Parts: sequence; structure tokens; C-alpha cells
Amino acid sequence: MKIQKCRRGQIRILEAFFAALLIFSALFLIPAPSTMDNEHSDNLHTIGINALLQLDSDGSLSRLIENGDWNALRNLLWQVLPNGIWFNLTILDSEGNQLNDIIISNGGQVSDAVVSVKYVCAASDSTYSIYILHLQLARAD
Amino acid sequence: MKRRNVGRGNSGQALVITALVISLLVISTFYYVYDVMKARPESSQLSLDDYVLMVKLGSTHTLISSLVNMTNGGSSQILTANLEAWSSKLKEECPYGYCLLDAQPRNVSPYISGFYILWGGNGLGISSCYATFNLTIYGRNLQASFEYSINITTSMTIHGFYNIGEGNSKHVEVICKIFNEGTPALAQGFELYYQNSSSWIQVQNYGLTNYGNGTYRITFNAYTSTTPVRVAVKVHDTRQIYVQANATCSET
Repeated sequence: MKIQKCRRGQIRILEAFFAALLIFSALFLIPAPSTMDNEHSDNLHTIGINALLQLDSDGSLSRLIENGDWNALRNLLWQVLPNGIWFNLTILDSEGNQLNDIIISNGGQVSDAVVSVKYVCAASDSTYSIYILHLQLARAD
Repeated sequence: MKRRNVGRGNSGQALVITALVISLLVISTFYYVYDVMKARPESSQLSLDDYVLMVKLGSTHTLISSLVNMTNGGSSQILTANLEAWSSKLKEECPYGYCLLDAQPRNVSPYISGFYILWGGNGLGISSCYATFNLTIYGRNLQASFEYSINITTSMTIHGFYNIGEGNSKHVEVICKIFNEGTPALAQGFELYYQNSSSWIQVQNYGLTNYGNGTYRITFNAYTSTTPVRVAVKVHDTRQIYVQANATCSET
């Protein structure tokens, strides 16, 4: 009787051990889609704001806005953004009025996951102006 | 008796399985929450770094704009006005909840209202602007404070030599060096003057050699009876900041 009881106890412990192994192995099968989405959008956000920072670093961004040279601005954005990224830029003055009278974009939207980057740009010439830029970005699927 | 033993055994197994299922649910829920919580702070931290970079760059442009305005004949109060406009716009467009940029023009000597202008007669010209900033950001699960200061300085050194020619004619050579924040920089729109008695005569024709490293060699002929020859150079850097300097040339 004593030997049988001991064996039963050992089997229970083994069962619990294998169950615990099963549980912890199941942890690796749980997907984390939210994390992947965050990284994806963060990456686009970083790409967008870095592109605007690069254009603004030497004051050329505000200069192009003041001159209304939207085609040059679109071409510059095209150059600094990586291939396969759709963009659409809207520029507002400090009163909230839209300044660009043409669409500053590189074509049709290619993905539903659109990231929006807001950038506040100060001009460095003698007539001080502040512009609000809304840059929308999406990645080709 | 045997039936009782079997019943007890099944009940124990059911309890163990139930406990395992519950622990599986608890652990998977905990893992999911941990994973989501881990992703969020990284995301906001990344955006915060980008935001601070944007604010610093805008602050730099605000100072440059103010210095351009002031050195080209504007008011010394322009810096305070521009900094207030910049802080106000950042507060309106804050992506986190509450952003406060406290900007203070430097008022410690030699700076007055954030400006230091020295267009001296010893061959040195300085146009400078200085302000300190304190950026405070409050948001959901976020509180950050950044202190930084920005100094925009365009400086110029000149020294000159001259040879006496026929009559009152003097051949003058001026070496001019331009600096932005202490590093060599390019300039444009040179204006040269030499002194004749008590008046300054603008040089219409001069030769300009650009060495490409912020150093310029300027040659011209001056018609003056005043010796030694005194020259003045007025120039804008590529940011449109104006600076000027006077110097007494040496005879060679």
C-alpha cells in the first residue's frame, strides 16, 4: 500500500511538471500583433520626422515655403524619403490657413496604414514666420 | 470501498486540470499585458526625442531670424517677441498634452536683451545672439524637462596693408575672415570703405578672392591723403546676418 501511494504521488508530480512545460511552451506561440504594428508605425513616423528635420536643418524648408516653390519641395521630399513610401504634405500658416495650392504628393496611396507627422517649422529670415506641416506617410504593401 | 477511491482520484485530477487551465489563462493574460506595456514607453520615448530635436532646431532658427532682423536695422526687442511667438505656437501644437517652452534672452554682460553687437575699429566685428531655454512636457505617463542654450554668432576679423602709389593713390590689400559660431563660414555682399579726412568713401571697384574656407582677399585702389589708411568692411553671411569691422592698415 505504501509503495502504491508513493508511485501515485510521483505520477502526479510528473503530470504537473509536464503540464507546466506545456503551459510555458504555449507562451512562445502567443503572437504579439500590437507590438509589430507599433514598431511599423514608429518606423514610418521616425522616417517622416527625420526627413523634415533634414530639410529644415539648413533653413531650406522654410525658404521653399516662403517662395511657394511646391514642386521643388515635393522633389526634395522624394529624394530624402526611402523608395516605396507614399507621402502627402499639407502646409499651414500660423493662422491655420493652407498655403500650398497644389498637392505635394508622389502619387496615389498604397496602404491603408497611414501615419501622420506634425512638424512646427520656424523661418530663419528677417520676417519671422511659423508654419505647421502635416506629413502623411504610408508604405507599399 | 473501491468506488470511493476512484471517485476521489478523479476529483483530484479535475482540480489539477482546472488549476492548470486557470494558470494558463493568467499567465497568457499577464504576458499579453506585459508585452503591450513594454511596447508603449519605447514608442513615446522615440517620438519625444524627435520632438525635442524639432523644438531645438526651431529655437535656433528663431534666434537667427531675430539676429538678421536686428543687425539689418530692426529693434532689439525683436528677440523677445519672436521667442514669445515660438513658445506660444509650441504650446498650441503640443502633441503630448502640455508643452511649455520658457525662453529667456541672455542679459549678462556683454549681452543686452539677448544681443551682443561689437562693430569695432580694431579689426574685429561681432554680431551675436544668446538665449536659454527650458522645455517642460507633461503627458499621459510622461513628464520630461530639457534645458538648453543657443548662441548664434557671426564674427569677422580684418587686417590690411597698403603701398603708396603716385599722388594720393594707395594700393590696399585687406584679408577678411568670417566665422559662424567660431567655425569658418562663407559670406556675400561685400561693401568696402576707406577714410578720406573725416568722410568714408565707398569702394566701387575691387578685386575679391574667395579661398573657400571663410578667408577672402580684397584688393583696391584708394585715393586719400590720410595715412595710415583706414578701411571698413561690411558683409552678410549666408544666413543674412550682418557684421562690419574697421581696421587701420599697415604700410609695406
